[in-house]
Amino acid sequence: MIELRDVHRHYRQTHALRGISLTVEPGQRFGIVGESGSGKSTMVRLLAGLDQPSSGEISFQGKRIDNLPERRLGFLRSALQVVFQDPMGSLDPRMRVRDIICEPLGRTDDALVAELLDAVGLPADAGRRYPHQFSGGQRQRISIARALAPRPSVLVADEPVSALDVSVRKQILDLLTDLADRFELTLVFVSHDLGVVRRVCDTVAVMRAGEIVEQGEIDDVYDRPRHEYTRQLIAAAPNLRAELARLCSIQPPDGGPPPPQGGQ
Amino acid sequence: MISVEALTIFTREQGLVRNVSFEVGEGERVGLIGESGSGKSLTAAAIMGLLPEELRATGSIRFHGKQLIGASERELSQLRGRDMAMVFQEPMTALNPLMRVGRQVAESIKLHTRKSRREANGLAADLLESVGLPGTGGRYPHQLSGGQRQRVLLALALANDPSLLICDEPTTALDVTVQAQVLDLILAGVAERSTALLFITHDLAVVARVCDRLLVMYEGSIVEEGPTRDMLTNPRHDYTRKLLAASDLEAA
Repeated sequence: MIELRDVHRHYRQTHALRGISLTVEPGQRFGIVGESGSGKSTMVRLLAGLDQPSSGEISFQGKRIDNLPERRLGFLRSALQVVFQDPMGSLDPRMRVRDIICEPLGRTDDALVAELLDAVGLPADAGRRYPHQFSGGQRQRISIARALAPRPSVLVADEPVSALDVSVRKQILDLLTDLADRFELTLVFVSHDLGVVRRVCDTVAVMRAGEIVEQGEIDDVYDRPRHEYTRQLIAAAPNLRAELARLCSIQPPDGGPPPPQGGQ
Repeated sequence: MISVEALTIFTREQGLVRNVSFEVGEGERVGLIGESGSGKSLTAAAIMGLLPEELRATGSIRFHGKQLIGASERELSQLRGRDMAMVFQEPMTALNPLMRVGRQVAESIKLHTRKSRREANGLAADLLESVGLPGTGGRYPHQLSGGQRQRVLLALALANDPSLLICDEPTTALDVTVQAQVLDLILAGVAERSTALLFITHDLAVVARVCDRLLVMYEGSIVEEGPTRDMLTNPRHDYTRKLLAASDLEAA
């Protein structure tokens, strides 16, 4: 579906991508994990055809896209859609939701709007309203509906829940998973959050400083990381279960006396 | 040490924080959790005397017995940075971009004590070293990474050994590998000084690591409070349960 071969991207002072090679198969849920400066945002821009590599090859459904001029990227613009981190920044506040959803098509199609609102779990009358009338999680649902409008085969989600409250994150992640099944989408999911990636993806690539340090099946990489950096990332990720286990081992239940110390 | 009673914050049209009461004892580490818009940051701003002008607060905030609601800006500015200090989510907004960071720490010490420039400079260098930034006093904020800036802010906050440190989402904007390091420095910094900590976050894994006791805010009110372990193993309020269920996104 997507193939990158030895892709480099130099900016004036930085070498943002240093020889990235990866293959995303149709139907895969491919996670890209990295911290700030890892090159993951550069990668999203290249995948979406918004930027070109300094060297290397990028193919989409077998067709080279790295060297195509803008006017010949039309097929990519509908076949690959991007959902961004900040839904408010990417939704035009003066447009009604139904027009936002149909923006990629260039005409408003009420039947499609109804179908997509239902698919993303928004009420049918949402189409008549404006973005500011919705919560953060609902706005992200609107931008997902818009991304689905041109019937893409690939959905690229760039930190789609990082700006959302914890209590709605899981709902949006589960929605993305359901939609990937229902619309037979290939998902490329980019995040700094290892827990979020594990919830959604079946495959993961770990990036650091413009390179992929490790990639493979998600459970393999998370449970048996081979690269030192992956180990560091996993060890540093906040882990509620581990913290609770620690609390329960040091604090007595119900405020009772502390457990006897050794040697007493 | 600090005692908040029936704190209510409102605009002309609506109430934002309703009838909030809690206490933080000396050296205690209390977590304030809730979603964006639940009133956690406003509560912290009211304690620091940093509420936006268009908001009004009623009720009582006693800090070492002194009433802060209605206190003059002059009284509050003497307390801020000396007896109470704050670390924000975005360090760049709290640092002066045009001043070397060592100087910023030293100025804060000089502002609140009678120490000489030389003593203040020496203390500032020690403080920067204690947050793992030896020899960086000569740098400007933009020459530092996000995690380094947050550590400078922590050094600045701890400079005068405050009795209360308020941290508002201090690690949310940081990379995970840096987050853990900054949390450890906060914990070490408050433990060393017996400083009480009011820690605002939406991340339950972080509060579980940092706090003894939790306050849960929802729509402007405290809906549940108790020891961290009890709250996270046996939550009573629906919202706390929902938050706990939603936090089950683990890497390992």
